[in-house]
Amino acid sequence: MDGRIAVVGGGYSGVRMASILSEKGYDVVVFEGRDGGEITVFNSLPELREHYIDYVEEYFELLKTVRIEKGVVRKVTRENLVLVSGCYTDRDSRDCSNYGRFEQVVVCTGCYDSNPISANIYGMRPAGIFSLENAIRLILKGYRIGREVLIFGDDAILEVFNSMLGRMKYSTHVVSGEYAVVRGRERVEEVVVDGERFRCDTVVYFKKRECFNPFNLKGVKAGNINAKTYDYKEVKKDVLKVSEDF
Amino acid sequence: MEYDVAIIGAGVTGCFIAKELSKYDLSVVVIEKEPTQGVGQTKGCSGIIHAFQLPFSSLKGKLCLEGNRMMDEEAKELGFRFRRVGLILLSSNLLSKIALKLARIYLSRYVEVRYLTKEELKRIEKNISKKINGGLFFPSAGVVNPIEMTFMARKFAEENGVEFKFERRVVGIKKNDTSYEILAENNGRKEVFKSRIVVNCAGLYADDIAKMVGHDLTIVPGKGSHVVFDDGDFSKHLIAILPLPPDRRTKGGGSLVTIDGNIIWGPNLIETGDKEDRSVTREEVNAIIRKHSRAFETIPKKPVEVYAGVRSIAGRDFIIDCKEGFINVAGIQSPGLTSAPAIAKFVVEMIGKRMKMSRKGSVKRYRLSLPKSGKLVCYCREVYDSDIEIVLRSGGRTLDDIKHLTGATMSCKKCLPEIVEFMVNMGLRVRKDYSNSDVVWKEGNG
Repeated sequence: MDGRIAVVGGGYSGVRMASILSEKGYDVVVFEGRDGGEITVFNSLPELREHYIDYVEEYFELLKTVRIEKGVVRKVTRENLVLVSGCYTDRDSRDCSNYGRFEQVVVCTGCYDSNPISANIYGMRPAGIFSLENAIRLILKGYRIGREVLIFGDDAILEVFNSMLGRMKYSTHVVSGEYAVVRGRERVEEVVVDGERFRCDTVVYFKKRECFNPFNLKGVKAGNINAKTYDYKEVKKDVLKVSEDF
Repeated sequence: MEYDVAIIGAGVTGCFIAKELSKYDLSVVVIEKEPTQGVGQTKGCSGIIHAFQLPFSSLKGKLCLEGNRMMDEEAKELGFRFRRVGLILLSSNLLSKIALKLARIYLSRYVEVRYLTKEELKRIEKNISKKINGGLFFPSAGVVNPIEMTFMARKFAEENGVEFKFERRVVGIKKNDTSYEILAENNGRKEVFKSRIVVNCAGLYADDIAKMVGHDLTIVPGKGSHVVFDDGDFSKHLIAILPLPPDRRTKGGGSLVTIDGNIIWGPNLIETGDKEDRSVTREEVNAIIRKHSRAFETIPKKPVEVYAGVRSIAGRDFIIDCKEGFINVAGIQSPGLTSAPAIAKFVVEMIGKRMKMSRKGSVKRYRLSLPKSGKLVCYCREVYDSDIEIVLRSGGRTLDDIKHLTGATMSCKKCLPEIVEFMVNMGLRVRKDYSNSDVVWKEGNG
């Protein structure tokens, strides 16, 4: 039990953290419920892969060196010792596999893109308004998200996304502004940004991210769950910083 | 074939009338222009089951009280969630306090109401503003998810023989001697439905439908915007603060809890002249927040969404009348949700006066059983892939149906792509709510 650490989340942050902690001599188990988080999504789309290439390559290298168990950690309880309980595998969600006891838990479950209100998008709510995260994932699944896309926001990642859409033959417009009003009843028809009108049938927005910890897991938080960004330099910085406490 | 009753509109009103009619030996059809139930006014409302509606002498006042009284039984019979969370009406100055005390005397003749002192209020709502000096508590007020409530009424009706024809837009109605011929358009194709009785529950477009048979009716749209917060533990009751607006067409909204664990502030009332204007402006959001902040010390911190509904206003009261077998059920704005079971009873009685109706010996119950097992798709609300599948196989047709029947996509929305994939794999168009609200298309990406 001594020196056993459970890392929740097998994405970039979780695997990076696990690797550092292993080097420090801890016995680390990473619990990953799906496919490894957004770094694997970035890896599957050329423009994003290129943009995140250092982190993608780092991730797949480190993946070979850490112990990963498939499962969704639902609860962390503390009774003198720290227990990882309720770890379910995909198909048998009622089955509780006990991987033993852990001294500490590190939560690396990442973040999610905030809602349209946080990006100051008002007006109607027709179909065709997507967070950047969901737009990327839907495209990766092979779906067409629209034809004329207004990309709303001013983060660097949006330019990368824009070039990807360009290659995929979408018509795009990158616009940043203080306030956007969506028009359209069933589907987006037009967006007015700071008084200027843009005809489009899709809005992809990015303003900020929120920490993703739906089960409110208790533990040390590290990575994008703290950094809340698309800038993985900051994500790596956070992982390194938190790891210093171990 | 000729139906006994054709209902135009599958909102909460139409579905509850269908549900009630399904208990009789009648052939009933519901004709709805959107792909699923409750896409018009129903989904834009606040989900409140009101304790009362003034004036008590009005039709809406009577049906509201009756509907409220019936709601526990309805929820049990149909299997939807309903909680009597209670309404607190607050006063913050001497005049309002006196008004509340006087009002209590009058209201107590019709509805359960208690006066609460500042201390008693603080005990049940810790965050109430220091300026509050008293309040009235109405324990009978409650909350539902209006789409879930409407879906369960629809399913009960379907289970007991009512036919639902979605994506059929009524474009004309002809009156014959003993029946009506309803002409509907379905993606370009024309269909005719013959029926002895027609019930017009077409909500915002009830006037268009009524005019098809020469009835004079005007519906004025009244937009109502809401701000949704994720601060689930902000408050436990429906809370409004005096003074209430002098506009008789709105009770003024408040700080509302939802059965799904959110807080909603609003609605307001804005006359836009456009039945389809459901836009929410930043000014409206700021005004709503300013208005309801007065009741509290601190305000909710996490706005997650805004939405607007549109009320169908036909003067000051509900219009429920029958002329030669054509029944208008129009102007059913608030308290329409609360009144739905009572309206249904009222309309069924009206129909019973025109045609022989025999009650069925027994009716089938409908239950939506979500397995809650398999692969977890929505982590925030614990929704599994098998739950989504059941909803889609049970008649859920849109992302909004999935959202309101399971809770998926109500919080962080990370699960949206997987749910979209689910619908595509089941061969369904992926629509948000309306007929042409496709979210994605299946073609590839270059």
